Amino acid sequence: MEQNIYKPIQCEVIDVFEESPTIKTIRLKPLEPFSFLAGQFISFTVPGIGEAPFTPSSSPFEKNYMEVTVMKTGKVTAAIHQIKKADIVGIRGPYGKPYPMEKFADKNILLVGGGVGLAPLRALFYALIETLDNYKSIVFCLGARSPVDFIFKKEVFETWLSESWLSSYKKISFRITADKKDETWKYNEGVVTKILDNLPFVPENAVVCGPPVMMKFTTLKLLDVGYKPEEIYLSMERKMYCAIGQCRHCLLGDKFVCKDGPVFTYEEIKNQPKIWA
Amino acid sequence: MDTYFIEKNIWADYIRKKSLEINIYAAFEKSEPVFSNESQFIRADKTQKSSLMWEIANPDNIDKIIYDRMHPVAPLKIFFFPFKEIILPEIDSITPFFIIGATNCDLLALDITDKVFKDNNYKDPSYSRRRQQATIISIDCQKPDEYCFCELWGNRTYPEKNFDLNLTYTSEGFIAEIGSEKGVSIIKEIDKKEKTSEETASLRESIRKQTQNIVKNNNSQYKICEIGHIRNDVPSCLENKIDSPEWKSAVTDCVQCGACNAACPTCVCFLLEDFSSQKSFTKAKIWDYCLYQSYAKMASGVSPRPLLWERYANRLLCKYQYMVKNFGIVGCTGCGRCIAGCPGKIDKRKILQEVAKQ
Repeated sequence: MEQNIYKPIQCEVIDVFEESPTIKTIRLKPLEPFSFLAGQFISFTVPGIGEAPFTPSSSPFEKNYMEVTVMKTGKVTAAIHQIKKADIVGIRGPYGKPYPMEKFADKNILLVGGGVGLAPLRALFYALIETLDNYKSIVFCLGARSPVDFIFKKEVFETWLSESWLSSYKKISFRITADKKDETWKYNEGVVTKILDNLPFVPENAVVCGPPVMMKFTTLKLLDVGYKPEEIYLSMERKMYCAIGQCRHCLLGDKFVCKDGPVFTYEEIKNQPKIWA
Repeated sequence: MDTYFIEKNIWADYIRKKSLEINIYAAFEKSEPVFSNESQFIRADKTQKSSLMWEIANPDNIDKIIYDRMHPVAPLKIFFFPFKEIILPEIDSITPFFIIGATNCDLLALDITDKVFKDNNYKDPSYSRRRQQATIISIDCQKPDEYCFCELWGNRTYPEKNFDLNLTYTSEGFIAEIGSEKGVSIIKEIDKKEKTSEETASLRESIRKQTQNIVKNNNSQYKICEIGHIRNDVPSCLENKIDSPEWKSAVTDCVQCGACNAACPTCVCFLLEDFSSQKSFTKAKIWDYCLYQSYAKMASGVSPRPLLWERYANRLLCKYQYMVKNFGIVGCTGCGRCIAGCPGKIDKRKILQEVAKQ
């Protein structure tokens, strides 16, 4: 008999981290063998409530657990925010195409993330670190609406920006901004497109993830500073149910976000209707 | 494939006997729908003053099965992709069943539903099982109505594939064509049958020509692109027409009921809904309609198609452009249900013709 494609793998919640007033990271331990590649996504089930798609935010090389970083927006994400340690939830996947790591070989890589859009980039960033010898250099631009909304604070400010970390990863640099700063903020102020000038390398590959309006203006800015449409990787978001190319909800014109994406080059989708909606 | 002539009473006896063994769904003239979701798109046959509905055949109603009209109101997909189906924790077991009365417009749609649910990296387990367990006994359409436009797309009024046994009704009996191994076993179970003569072959030919001519004549005023050979090609005249002003005027009378979605044999969109009771969780797969505002609206409240004309354009471009890119087949077989069932009397043929012109 065929396997039921909708049957989730059970996971135990082993920790919950509050990232911002609206964003939490859930650390899961799958109770069956499970692995993914950076950029692929999972369908997260809260039993009896529903499913929603998320790209894991933890390193794909981390074998003991997997993390998803979730902003509270709808019914399922509200239920995810209620989750406690030791709860049992479900996941299906991984689905979709991963980031094309092979295309980044011997290249300079620009990562641009905004808000909860930093989640998939964190997974990618960890994957890049594991294979750092393959790349020339990485600039990671991180943004949020405000300092309070900035996620992965502990990691970014206490680890990645520490002198010891930076001195052991000389190929990597960070640019940090908040749309509107407060008195505690020591970094840039303004939208993320403001920190994309004077990049320390020639345009080669840019990976962008964030809210639609941020991705739109970041793409325009990147084109402006010399990136080609086929060098800009975008994480697209659409309503999704099945995640396996059947229910057709995620179609971006004739492209399935769930199986042709979720990562597309701008070149692949620029002629599809309403991509920034 | 081989064709046989079977007398009416011989066939009826066979079906009567079979109906005691397995479920047989057949086309009947009805006013009461058998499937609750049918009621919203009852197609009134003006000459017959009735509609065709799928119903379970039993020894008492065998003689009332309709073999010489058109397709029933509900598309064939309901047997393989039902309106609502429980997919978790377990799917229902499915036993063998017969379907009598499928027409070519619905059989061609199986090319799409098979590609979506079966010939895919991820196989929908219940769809595949239903397809395996079903024996499809199709018919030649003989009384198409004014909404039918299969021939406009180069599709035939009679089945050429995707059936197990096809029946052409004649006043004397049936000309039965075998389409598969399942069809072979039906013919084996019928003792009294004869190989068709040249005379019956030409009778079938003329019955088919007659029906084709009705559809062609009914659609003579429509000229959409280069008609007749586009089943596997994006109609170039409809390519990149998302911004056509015609879509806006097309939806003036649209009430967003979704009848065109429900009635369409190739509409495959569904949503997943979770339910919980005290002890168990279930997940259901339910038809979803792209004309509904909720269809593409994300949790954030943002929708890529907030306006009705955008959703209407998307529905037709899905059929004539996106499905062709996805599956290599135009997602419209010309059954005409979307026109017949539309409370706003929107005629897709006219809209397409206008869009194509610009």
